[in-house]
Amino acid sequence: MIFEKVEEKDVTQAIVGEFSRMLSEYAESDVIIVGGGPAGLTAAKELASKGVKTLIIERNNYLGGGFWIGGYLMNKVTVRAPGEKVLDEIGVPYQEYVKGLYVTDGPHACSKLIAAACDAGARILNMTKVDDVVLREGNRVAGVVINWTPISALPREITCVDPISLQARVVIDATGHDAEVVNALVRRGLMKVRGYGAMWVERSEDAVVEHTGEAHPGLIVAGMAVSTVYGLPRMGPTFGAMLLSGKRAAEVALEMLERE
Amino acid sequence: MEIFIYNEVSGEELDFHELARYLEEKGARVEVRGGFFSRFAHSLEDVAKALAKMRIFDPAKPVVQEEPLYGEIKYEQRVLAGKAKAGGVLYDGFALQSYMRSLLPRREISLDKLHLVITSRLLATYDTDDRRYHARAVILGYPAIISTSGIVEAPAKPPEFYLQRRLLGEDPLAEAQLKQKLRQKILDYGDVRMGEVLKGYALQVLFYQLFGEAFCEEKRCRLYNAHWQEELIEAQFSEPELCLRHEAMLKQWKEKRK
Repeated sequence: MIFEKVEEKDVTQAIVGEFSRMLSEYAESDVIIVGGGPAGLTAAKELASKGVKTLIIERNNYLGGGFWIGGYLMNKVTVRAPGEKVLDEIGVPYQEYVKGLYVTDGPHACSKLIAAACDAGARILNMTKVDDVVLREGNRVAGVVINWTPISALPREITCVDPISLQARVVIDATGHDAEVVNALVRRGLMKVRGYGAMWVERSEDAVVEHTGEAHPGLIVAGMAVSTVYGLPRMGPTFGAMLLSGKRAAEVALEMLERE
Repeated sequence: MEIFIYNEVSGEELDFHELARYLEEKGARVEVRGGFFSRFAHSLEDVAKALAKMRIFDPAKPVVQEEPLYGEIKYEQRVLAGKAKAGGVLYDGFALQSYMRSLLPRREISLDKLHLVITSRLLATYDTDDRRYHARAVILGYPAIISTSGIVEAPAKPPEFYLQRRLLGEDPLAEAQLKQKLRQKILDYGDVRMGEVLKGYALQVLFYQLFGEAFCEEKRCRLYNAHWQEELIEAQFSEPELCLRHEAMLKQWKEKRK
């Protein structure tokens, strides 16, 4: 026999016990990052490596968002300088295609970024969807209301499953164009979004990074959610802005945590 | 004539003293004053809010100044504090000019005083003929505003650039190569030729203030109102820099001052 003898109940208890322990511990985090794509993962890596209690919420089973592939289902991803510095940090090889434009393998870059966030100490709740936000005085965002992703895919008659809430000192919306956390505020009439604009790759990357910041008290927007909120130009299949926006979001979150 | 140059540029290295020296050669007294808003506004928070209201979201609709988003004001505050760069946002140029004019103290307003603001923000003005906004490199008037991103975006690139880009689709690698191939015909962000081109636009501003005439029909005159970047480069790097008529106008003005 190759493997140790373990009973079925041990396997079940290991899964339930450890998941419950983690969920209980992270019922209150320093930072909740909604969306585990390149921006969210970079923010998580930065924050967790500085000892910030960080939880990523991802609606899919897999992390990485669109970072696995470049444009048109081709799995080479591009970053413009200085985005390659993030690739250096996580140990991903790349080559300079023309001056200032770098190309690398999507699967390699994406898996390394996921590993970097996990290694730094970020915790992950996947297959979890944000339904709403937790609000405090002055309508400050103070957490998120979550439920299992499959719940939203089933008919309402058979899914009377109440969600649960998680608290955080700062929430980061890194859910891409959907801007799910922001839209929870929009539904409550607490915020407006501009919707994203026409493609203008040269300036859109800069604009996304520069607009990354607190969009509503307690809520930071990062990655393509920034584009949706502020009506910034769409960008092509380049990822430098996602990585740097994640870094910027982490910087802003640290400032907010210190301010508290 | 006194010219006051204001630096509202973010994230770009431009030699404003070189621009001042060039305009002094033409016969004006020039002072480089630093930021316009930091000099004249009482509250940068108010400026941030005013700027956030000038954003253009739909190039076919004139801006209706409404309450901006919390994050838009925060962004403008970061740009004004030098913590973020301006870029990727289109502002209503006339709204900006009008707001700046409202901040100028009465003692600063005179036909002998030319206020010239150089900004990184991309500006556009609404044209009632075709009912849409057009990006601008320069907004003439009081104060005059030159936009460095407008110099890159407003005059059109060669037709082959747009045709090739349509063929390439969303391919940043191929587009980067295309720009390298056409670099003699186009101006890009961070272009080393920007300082020289800026002088040409500043000269247009000066002529407009002095003579009410900013542009020239001659393609090799620095005052030529270029609609294509290739024309702009030709007009700004040709010798002599002005056509005979405009050279004579400037000479006459300079002599009168003596």
